Amino acid sequence: MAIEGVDEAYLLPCGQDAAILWEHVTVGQLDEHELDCPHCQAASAGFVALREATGELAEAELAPPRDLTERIMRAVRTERRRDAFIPIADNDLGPIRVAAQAAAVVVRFAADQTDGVTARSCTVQQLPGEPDGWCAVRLEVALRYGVDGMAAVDRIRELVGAAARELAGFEPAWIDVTVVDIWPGGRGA
Amino acid sequence: MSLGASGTDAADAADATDPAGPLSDATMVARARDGDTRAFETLVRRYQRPIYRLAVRLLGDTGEAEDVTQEVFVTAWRRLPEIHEDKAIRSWLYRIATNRCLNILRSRKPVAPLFDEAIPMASPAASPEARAEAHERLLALRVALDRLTAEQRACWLLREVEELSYAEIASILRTTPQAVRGRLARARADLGEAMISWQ
Repeated sequence: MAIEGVDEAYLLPCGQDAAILWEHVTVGQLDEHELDCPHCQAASAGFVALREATGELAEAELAPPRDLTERIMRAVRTERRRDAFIPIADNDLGPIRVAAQAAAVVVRFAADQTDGVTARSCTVQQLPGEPDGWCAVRLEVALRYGVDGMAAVDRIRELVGAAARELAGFEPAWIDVTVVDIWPGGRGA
Repeated sequence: MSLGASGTDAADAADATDPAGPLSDATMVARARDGDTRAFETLVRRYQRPIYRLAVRLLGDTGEAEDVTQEVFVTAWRRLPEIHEDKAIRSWLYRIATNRCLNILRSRKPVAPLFDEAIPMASPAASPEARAEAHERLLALRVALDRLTAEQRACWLLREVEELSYAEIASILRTTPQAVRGRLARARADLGEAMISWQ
């Protein structure tokens, strides 16, 4: 690949641009000057050795300690944002509430059961002025290319409605579904 | 996807073997931004190895690299609401890591180069001579890398080992792709010269 617009070109003593020589070494095609010039010959020998060493460095395994993930996640959990709660009902023993994040997990899980749908962002909030547990669900989803969007959204509403009532105990009075991405088949969303 | 999976091994397996393929970074970022620590853990597992690798090779110290890797992800968790392009999490993590490492290097007093990273041996299938030569070549590269400026080393590692594009590197180092090309050419020329001496 030709290098154009190099604003800090590094020139060999013969005037050849080192970046251009590198590209020629990479594709194995030195030009006439480079084949005859002792500076270019010496530099290209160094580049060949550098390419070999670079490949070895890139392939070398360099794994973090096994417990690093857990250490990171422990630190993350201590910074976890304060949960909001949705009031579900009152009984003789006191109020029953569900964490909004837990409610969102139920919603996302339900939406994920629809073929070709992956849930992304989701919030569940108590609707002001409505009875306890009557909530607004805002859900963003990605669809697999070729999926019937309208049918998918109908199915999401059906599954989310059932899961909200049966698994989390809130009434999804309003389910707002937004398609934010389309992904090609054959890989995850 | 199984929400029932728990524990680190199960989480690894879920990311690798989901029939729909691993869920994208954009999906995991969107869920993590909502406070889903499980989604964030998937991102940690996906990217802690390259971030740690970059930090070790920039700093030459595995202990500091572990600290930087932890800081990078905790910072990312705090600043998730600032990400506007969910697919760009990879570049964003590299940017935080590179800047943190460069700050550490700038604040260091000049000291003898550190080689905390064990130089790996070549494949056991290779002859003893070939293995020894590969080992020496890699050692020579490490010595030469330590002679580059921190910015040049970062640029070279991001391109040649992490295989980021010029545009991504320019964004990480807050410069132009042309300047990245120039810096890289200079680094390759210096490293190539060092490798000639080794030969």
